[in-house]
Amino acid sequence: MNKSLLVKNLSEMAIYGCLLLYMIVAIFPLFWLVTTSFKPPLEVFSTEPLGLFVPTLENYNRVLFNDPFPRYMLNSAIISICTVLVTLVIGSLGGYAFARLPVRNKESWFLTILSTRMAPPVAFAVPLYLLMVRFGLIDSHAGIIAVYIFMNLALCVWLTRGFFQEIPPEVEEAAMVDGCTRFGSFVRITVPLAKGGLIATAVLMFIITWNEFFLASILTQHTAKTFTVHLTSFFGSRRILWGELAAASTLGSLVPIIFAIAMRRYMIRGFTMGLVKEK
Amino acid sequence: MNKKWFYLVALALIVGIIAALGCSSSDIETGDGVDRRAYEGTTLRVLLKTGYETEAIVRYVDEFEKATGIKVEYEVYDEPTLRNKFILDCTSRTGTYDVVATQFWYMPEYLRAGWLEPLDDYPVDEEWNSISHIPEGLLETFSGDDGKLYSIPVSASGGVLIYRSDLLEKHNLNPPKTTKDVLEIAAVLKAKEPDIYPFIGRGDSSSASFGTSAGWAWAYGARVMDENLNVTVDTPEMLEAMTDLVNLMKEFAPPDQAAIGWDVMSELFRKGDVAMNFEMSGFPSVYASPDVSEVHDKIGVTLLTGPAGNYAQWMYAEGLGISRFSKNKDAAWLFLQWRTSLEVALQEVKDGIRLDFPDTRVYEAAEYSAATEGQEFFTELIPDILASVDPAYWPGIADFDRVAEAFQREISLAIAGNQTVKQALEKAQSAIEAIVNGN
Amino acid sequence: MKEKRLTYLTLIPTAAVFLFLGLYPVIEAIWTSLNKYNLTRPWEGKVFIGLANYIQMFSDARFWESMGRSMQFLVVSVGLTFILGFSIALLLHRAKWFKGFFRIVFLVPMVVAPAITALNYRFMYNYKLGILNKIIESLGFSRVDFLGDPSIALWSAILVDVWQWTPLVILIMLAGLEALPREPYEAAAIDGANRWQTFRFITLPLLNKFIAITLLIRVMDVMKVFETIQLMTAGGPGRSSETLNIYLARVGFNWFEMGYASAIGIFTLYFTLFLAWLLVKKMGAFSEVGESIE
Repeated sequence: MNKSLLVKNLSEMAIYGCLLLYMIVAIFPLFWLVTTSFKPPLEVFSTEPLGLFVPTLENYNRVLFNDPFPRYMLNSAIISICTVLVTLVIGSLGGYAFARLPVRNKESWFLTILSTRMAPPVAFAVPLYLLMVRFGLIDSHAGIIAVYIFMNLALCVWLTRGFFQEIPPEVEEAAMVDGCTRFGSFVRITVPLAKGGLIATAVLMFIITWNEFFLASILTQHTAKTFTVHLTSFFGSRRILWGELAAASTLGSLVPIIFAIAMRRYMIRGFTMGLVKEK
Repeated sequence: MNKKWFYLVALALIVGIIAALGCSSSDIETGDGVDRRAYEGTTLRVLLKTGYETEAIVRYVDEFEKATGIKVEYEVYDEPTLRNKFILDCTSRTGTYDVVATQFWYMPEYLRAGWLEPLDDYPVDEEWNSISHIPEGLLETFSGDDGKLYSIPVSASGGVLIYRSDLLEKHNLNPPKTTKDVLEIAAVLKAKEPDIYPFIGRGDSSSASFGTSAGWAWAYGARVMDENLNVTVDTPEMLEAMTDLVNLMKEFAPPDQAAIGWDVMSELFRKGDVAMNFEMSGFPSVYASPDVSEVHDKIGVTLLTGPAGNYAQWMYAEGLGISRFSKNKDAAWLFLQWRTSLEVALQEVKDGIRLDFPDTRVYEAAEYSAATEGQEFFTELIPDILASVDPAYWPGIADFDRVAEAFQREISLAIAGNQTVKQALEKAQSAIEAIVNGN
Repeated sequence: MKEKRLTYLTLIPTAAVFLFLGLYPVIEAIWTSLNKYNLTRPWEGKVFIGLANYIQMFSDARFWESMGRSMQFLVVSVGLTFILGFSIALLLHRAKWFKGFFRIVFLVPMVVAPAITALNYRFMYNYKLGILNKIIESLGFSRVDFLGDPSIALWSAILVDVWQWTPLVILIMLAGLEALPREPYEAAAIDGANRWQTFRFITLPLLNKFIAITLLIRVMDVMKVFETIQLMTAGGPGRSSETLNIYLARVGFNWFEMGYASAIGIFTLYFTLFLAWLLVKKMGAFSEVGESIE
């Protein structure tokens, strides 16, 4: 009995040891980023642990008050929120259709939808750019939001389909028997029931959109520029402003991190891709 | 009949007087004949590159706005992004950007495509315009085959060897004057200062680092293309030049020299880990800045010559141009002149933004000597640096980027030890020939 | 009948977005790929050259080399993230305390922007001054030239990708593990199956569609990796970290050869589609995707 208890304890310790090790690996780069943001230019490459060097707020001062960075963070926020809201509406309608419709050739539809996620943005940047120019949408919030909606739609349809499928059609039928239209039952019954999944989808899409870089750099200029594009402005011509860059990066990462932690239950749900039935 | 004539003449006189009154405004608002407020209310979109050339605009643009009533909206990007945005804008012919920062190495490309506005026929603002005080050679760099100027130069740099005066003094070494000196000093320092890298330069494969290899080569009389655009990479002179450089970088530079671009190079030098740096003359002032450099008071600068008697080069110049598609060209022209005016330059000097200017009047100004006290190690050399610039070595063709990358990539691999210098030159020769012959 | 029409109607906004913003650029790109079109030679405009771009592509050594690196990246990154992620998920599944805490913490790398991650790692990978080498040295090993050694650079980039996306695998696989039914395990225990047998014949098959989804998402994402490499090495040193996507960016945004770039882009799209199709077929992923475990 004692031996197996010992083995059990040891293996438990081993498990936690490994998990702790992985946690360090996962968190360390971000820890380093944050400490760098508090270092003056001469110290950015120093390795004194936090507390043994004198932290400075000049990087944050520069980034927040002497730089257009806050404006671009605001842009990111506006663009991401609008994108998510609109995509959710359009996508959930689509997901619902796929969930309830009898579809032939499911596989090909699936792959077709997925294919929009496979296109390397680099290849389609110029056609997109010229398309936006034609409609006067370059460097406009509307323009980049439209492109982001497209970018996220496939995922939204895919995920919401899964969530809607979890809801038995009988519930909707019952509502319709009581006089609801199909659409009415969708809005009043199905959506609230799938709320968790919808929020999960929204969280995922928000993070993807918030972090996007390449398309934003091509399609925005100064009105609709997002914070990720602005990060490269911290490359000087004779030195890279690592401290300021770290400060801007930290601020820009805080949003999705805090959001993800606040919404962790939904996030975790989202990643199961609707594969698991709600317990 | 008589009465009618009388009234007509009187009317003409009155109109004439009013017109004359309207033309003469206060001194503040004209540049002697040019009405600076003529474009009041216009908004200019300016596309800029990160770097000290942009600093002045960021800081002083309010004064321009006050003087002209023109609003300036500028955007600052790193060089590749800047070029992309300009090219995309020109492709769509939208003319979103009125003013664009032009790096000299992209001028042939922009000119070939006809994207820049010729500046010769615009009215000169006597007070602001500084073109007549800029060296001819520099102006030529920004002019087209038609002889017209397409950008006003804002900055110009040449090639220098920056060294740690304290280290050379410590070992009784004289500052190097030739490329061979550099090799000798490096050998001495490697033996005597094990914790310091004797040399550093740009060794990575990007076209931005091509300047180091190509500039060094010119000291040996070698260049990538000759004046008839024949590719002259695989030559004995180039072999000697690159052998020395690769040797310098393999033996005496940091082990990851083959991946080091300007940013890491700058960082290492400012940390005090390096003794000598062959680079463009924009860097000494950042190495000498106490805020960012641990060795700011231990710097020396010198020019290098090589076996062919030429100066080793590191040409770089940046200017401001007007987009062919701009809808506010006249207002843009005012901005260009303001930016390159003596008054702005002197303010830059006072605020310590930079020490090197294309406008030769700056060096004679009292403010200049006052502000550059303590920096004589560099400022005294500036006229010589600018005089040493020899554009002959530079492949000033539209496909510069591809050629530069093709060449630098092979050199970089040689530095990494993946191939010999001879192999590198052979591969570069055929690659560049393929590009030039229209691949 | 009316209902069916209604459900078809709800698809219209989705279809509109796909058609307009999806189909149009693709068609435009396909058309461009059949032309010679260099943005820095505007006077030439678009010149129709048929399949010449594709022929050039297939005979371009640099294309094949970058393709090879993309494949290397794909296999290694997907493989490593999967093995690592699955292992952590298994450990976490067995853990009793702090599960929620670990879950949140493990989420974080995935949530940070790839652009930020790339720049941060570039900072940390610095040979002489970076923190990673300083740690390695203090442990008694010699410095690693992460970004400067041509034989290591690609691996350094792969490592960053693995760091960033292992959390995704952990989350999906953990969800799968937690959804496993008890009965098969009880039966196996009665039959006297050992750990390994249980794992191989019960756990794995039951997790099939989770594995499929994970691999599918990873494969799709890896083929699109761009910022991670571009902001760290730009394909260097030499071309040692130049994957297909990076080469594509060079052709399109350094040389502005839009025709050729479009050809490479179209190829990448269909190649990725092919990989996804293979995955879907082999793992029967689709038939169960979106449906709950019975």
